[in-house]
Formats: sequence, structure tokens, C-alpha cells
Amino acid sequence: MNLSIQEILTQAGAFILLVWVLKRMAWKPLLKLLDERREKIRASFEEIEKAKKGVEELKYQYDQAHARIEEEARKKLQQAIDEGKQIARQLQEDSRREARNILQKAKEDITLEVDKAKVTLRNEIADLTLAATERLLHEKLDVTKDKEIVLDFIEDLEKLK
Amino acid sequence: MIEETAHSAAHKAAASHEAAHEGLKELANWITLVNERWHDVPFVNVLHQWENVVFSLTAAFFLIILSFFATRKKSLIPGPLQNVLELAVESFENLVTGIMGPRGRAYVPFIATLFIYILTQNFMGLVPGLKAPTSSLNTTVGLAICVFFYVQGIGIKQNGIFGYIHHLMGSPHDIVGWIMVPLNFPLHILQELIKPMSLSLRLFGNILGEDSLIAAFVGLGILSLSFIHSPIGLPLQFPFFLLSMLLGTIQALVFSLLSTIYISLMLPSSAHETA
Repeated sequence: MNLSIQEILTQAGAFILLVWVLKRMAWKPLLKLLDERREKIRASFEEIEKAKKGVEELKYQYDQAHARIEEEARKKLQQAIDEGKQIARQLQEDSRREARNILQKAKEDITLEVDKAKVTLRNEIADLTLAATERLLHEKLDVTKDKEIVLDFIEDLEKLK
Repeated sequence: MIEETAHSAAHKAAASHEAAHEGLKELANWITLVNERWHDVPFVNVLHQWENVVFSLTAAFFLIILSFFATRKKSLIPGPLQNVLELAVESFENLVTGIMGPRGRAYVPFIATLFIYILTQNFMGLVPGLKAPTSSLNTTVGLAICVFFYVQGIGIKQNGIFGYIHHLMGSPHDIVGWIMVPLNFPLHILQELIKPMSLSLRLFGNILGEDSLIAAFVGLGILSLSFIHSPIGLPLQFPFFLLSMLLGTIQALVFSLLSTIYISLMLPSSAHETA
């Protein structure tokens, strides 16, 4: 084994030089690049997590708003139904009242007509009776007195009823 | 004419320089061929004498150029070359921090350079016309000395000079430990000195063995067809190329891994306990 101190030192020097050059040219920049990439990937993952949380938050807010809107809609619908029912009830009552009024008026009209008819009928009966009596007695009596007698007669009849 | 050519090719292919290898032959490289042709030219002689340094510098320039092109246009979305280099860097980062913990990141450049430099040098033995500089003890000793001083420097920097000496004394904590200091101290110093020796001899022996094996089978391949005066031989060395690639990678890994462990052992106990 022919050891040469000069060659050993040259080889060692060449290696040290190579370490220095590669450290500056390759290892450090590449390690830095790897770190940067790791950091970027980590930041990206964090960003994704943050975005996911944001989306979840938005979804939660949307769900809340949706539930609120549904509740409001349900309330308004209920209110509309209640109002409708109220109006219907009101209409029913108005109709009933009007019907009652009409019925009442009709009854009053009927009573009035009946009374009028009764008066007319009584007069006509009295006239007919007088006429009949005149024909029967063949003589002319005092009209006013006769009529009073007949009316008294009719009242007596009504009383008998 | 053909016989002469075959003889010349066989001669050139098996042309080996025995310098420092005690009879072990290696394949001829372009410097040995140039030296055979113009051996009386002083520059060629110098080149031949320093061929391991020349090939080491070739490996170093190759790596510098490669890293230049790989990192020329750095981007967060890497190109193919940057991707390969990033993969290597990340693998080494994981390897080193796996052994030493997060503090090991500072030593990644040294360890990673050591690995790719040794790997490139080992593989150079497979390229025709080149030579694996790691088949020379001068190269491996040079690298091991760098590791030795780096490890000791880290020991002094991380522990302080007294902490470093305390470490060399075996970190005694009780009376028995202090009694053992006269024994432990020289043993630890010896241990620190043996570490680079073992590193360099292991790498040198393995790579020289592989290269010699390949050279022997190249010679055998040429000899096997010499009876028909073939200018080329049978590629009998091919299986050993694959073996050499595997062992070259393993040896580079062993060298860098052991260096990592030596650094780790030199760090203050809290540093490698956290690993």
C-alpha cells in the first residue's frame, strides 16, 4: 500500500471543496425549498380546513335562516288562516243577522197584511151581511146604524171564537 | 494483423498498474493508456501519478455540474432532475434525522455529499476508460480523515473542550468511572483513531476487490476467444458489473451511515437521546 500524504491531503481538500460547493449550490437551497414546500402544503391544508369551517359556518347560518324563514312563513300562513276564519265568522254573523232582520220584517209585513186583510174582510162581511139583510127585509134601513149592529155582531162572533 | 490487434487489445484491457495494489490488477483507464503511449512526456507522468486525484476531481465536477443543472431553475413544482435530487436530499434528511433527531439536519449536507461522492467514485469503475478512485487507499483515507476531523470538530463544538475531554474519558459519573479513566481515555482515543482506519480500509478493500474481479473476468473473456484471434472478448464481466453496482451502493451507504453514527455518538447525550 503506497500511501502518499500529498495525495491524501489533495483528496481530502477536494472533498472539503466539494462539500462547500454542494452545500451552497445544492443542499441548502434544496432543503430550503423542501421546507418552503412543506410550509406551503401545511398552509394549504390549514386554508382548506379554514374554508371547510367557513362553509360549515355558512351552512349553519343558512340552515338557521331557512328555519327562521319557514317559521315566519308558517306563522304568516297561520295568521292568514286565522284572519280568513275571522272574516268567515264575521260574514256568517252578518248573514245571520241580515237573515234575522229580513225574517223579522217579513213577519211584521205578514202581520200587517193579515191585519189589513182582517179589516177588509170584516168590512166586506159587514157589507155583504147588510146587503143580504136588506134583500131579506126588503126595506131600506139606516145604513150607519145597521152597520154598527153588524159590527157588533161580528165582534160578538170573534169573542165567541 | 488481427493477431496483433487482439494481442494489443488484450494487453491494453488487462494493462494494469500495480501501484500500491501488490499485484492486484485493475482495468486500464484513459490515463494509463496515454501513459503507455507517451510515457516519456513529463505531464503524462504527473497525470499518471495523480490519476486517482484526476478521477476524484472528475467525479466532483460531475456532481457540481449535475447539482447546477438540477437547481438552476428551482421551482415548487420540480422538473425531473430537481425531483431526483430532492428525493435524494429528503431521503438523507430522513436517514440522518432518524438517527440523530431534528438536530441532525445540520449534518445532512456533509453526509449527503459523502454518499453521492463515494457512490459516483465507485460507479466510475464501471465506465470504460475511467477508474474508481475509491480503489485507492489514498482516496479513502482522505475521505476518512475528513470524517475524523469533522466528527472531532462537532464533538468540541457541541460539548465544549472540557466536555469533549470528558467524553474521551468515558463520561465518568462515579468513583468507579473516574478510577477507570486511565484505561478508558487511551482506549477512547484509540477508538477514535481506529474509526477512520476501519472506514477507509473497508471501502478501499471492497472497491479494489470488485475492480480486480472485473479486470480478471475481462481478461478471461478476451483469453476465451483468443484462439480465433477475436478483437473483442466474451463479456464475462457483465454479472460482476451488476454486483459491483450493488456493492458500490452498499459501501457508499455504509461509509455515510457509519459517519452519521460517529457524529451521533459525539453529540451530547441529550441530543441523541431525543433521536
